[in-house]
Amino acid sequence: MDCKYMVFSSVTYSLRGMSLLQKKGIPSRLEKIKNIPSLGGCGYALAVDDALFANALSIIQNEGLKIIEVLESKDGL
Amino acid sequence: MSDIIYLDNAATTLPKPQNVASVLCSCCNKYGNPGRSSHVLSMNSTRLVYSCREIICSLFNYSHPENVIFTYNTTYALNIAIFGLCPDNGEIIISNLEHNSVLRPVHALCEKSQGKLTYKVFDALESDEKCVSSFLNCISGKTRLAVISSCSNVTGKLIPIHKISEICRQKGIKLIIDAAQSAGIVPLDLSTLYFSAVCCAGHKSLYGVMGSGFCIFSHIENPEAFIVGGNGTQSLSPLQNGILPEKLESGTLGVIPICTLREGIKHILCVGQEEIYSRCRKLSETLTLSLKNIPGISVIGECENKVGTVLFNVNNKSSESVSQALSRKGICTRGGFHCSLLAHKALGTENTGGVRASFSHFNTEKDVEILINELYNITRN
Repeated sequence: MDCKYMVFSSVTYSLRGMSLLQKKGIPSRLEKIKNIPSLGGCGYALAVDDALFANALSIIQNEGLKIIEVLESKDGL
Repeated sequence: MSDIIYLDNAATTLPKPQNVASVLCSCCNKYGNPGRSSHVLSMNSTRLVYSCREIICSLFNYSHPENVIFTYNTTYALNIAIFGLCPDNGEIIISNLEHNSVLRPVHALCEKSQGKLTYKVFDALESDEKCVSSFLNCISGKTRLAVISSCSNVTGKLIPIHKISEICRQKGIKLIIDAAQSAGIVPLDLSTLYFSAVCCAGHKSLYGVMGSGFCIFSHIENPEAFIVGGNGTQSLSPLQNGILPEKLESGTLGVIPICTLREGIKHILCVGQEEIYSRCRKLSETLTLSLKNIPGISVIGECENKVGTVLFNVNNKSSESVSQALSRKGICTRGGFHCSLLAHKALGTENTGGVRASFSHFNTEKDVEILINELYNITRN
């Protein structure tokens, strides 16, 4: 599937995001990304199906969770 | 354990529930280093740690799993909270029932401050009303922080923490609660309680194994990191990640203790804290009544609101010798001073110490009966 990635400030926030999405029936996958410039090193992101991404983003934002960055793909990172 | 009567649950609970014992064996080869790598064993571990943060939040009715910081015991949790939240100057209030894990870091900070920081001790030994009044009397315009146990590890007395919390809220005083002896027995609703940090042991009444502990910070706090180092994030920066929980969790977490803690809390949620409290309390009441009928035994620090802990002495015998005599008969209690200078001073037992019997909900009336019979024998010899 084609995915986009929500980068959170920490793995814990990524998992909190995953838990919120799960409760709303949106599957996501935790992935480690080795070099995220905005984080100054490695970090974690949630991979969400392209088709569900807008809805997922809105759920996360409504809960007040801060998304550091949205990545269209992991290419080059 | 079959021949042992274990009454030292305030130190660490034994036995552990079956699900805790089972997971301890099964998890050894299942979990990698959490929050470090992208392979399956590390990811499993990362999810496990997070699920334990969530179940802790369920127990305390709290909605910020990211504010649960794992430590190795309550002492670490208290040090992280006290050093992380303590102001540079002003006054700190503690009670006269505090464990050394509160007294020593507070005392050390005040010593180091060269007089800028001082602490006062209020009397928590008496009734709730007098306790609150004594706390109020300690407050001044300089009071910045209170560090208070919700339950004495020596006598099991419950401190009126909700009333104290409300006073702290009104006066703008930070409040660190040492819940080592009450978590899992007396419900604490953090969705309504004012607090800055709550520090707990995982291996006592939460039924995890030794090496598990945690601190829950209020979502409005941003404590200074007490220990810094690698935490799996922002590896290219020389600065510590400024976000909880990783900011305060440098180094590899104790994943296996955390795994057992999760199972321990599942057990508590299944049995119910009210049931656990009422069973432990009933056993301690039975023991207290029986002890009073034995000539030569004095019960110390009796009070109305308490958990399943009883402190006593046998006249003319040292508490250690009584505890050792019981141990020879397979009964585990704890004699001495229970790492609490302040409490034993307040109780007037700073020279003798005391024998502490503390129950978990796995104890039975039969355990109390056997202890009483042995104490009869000890007093006759």
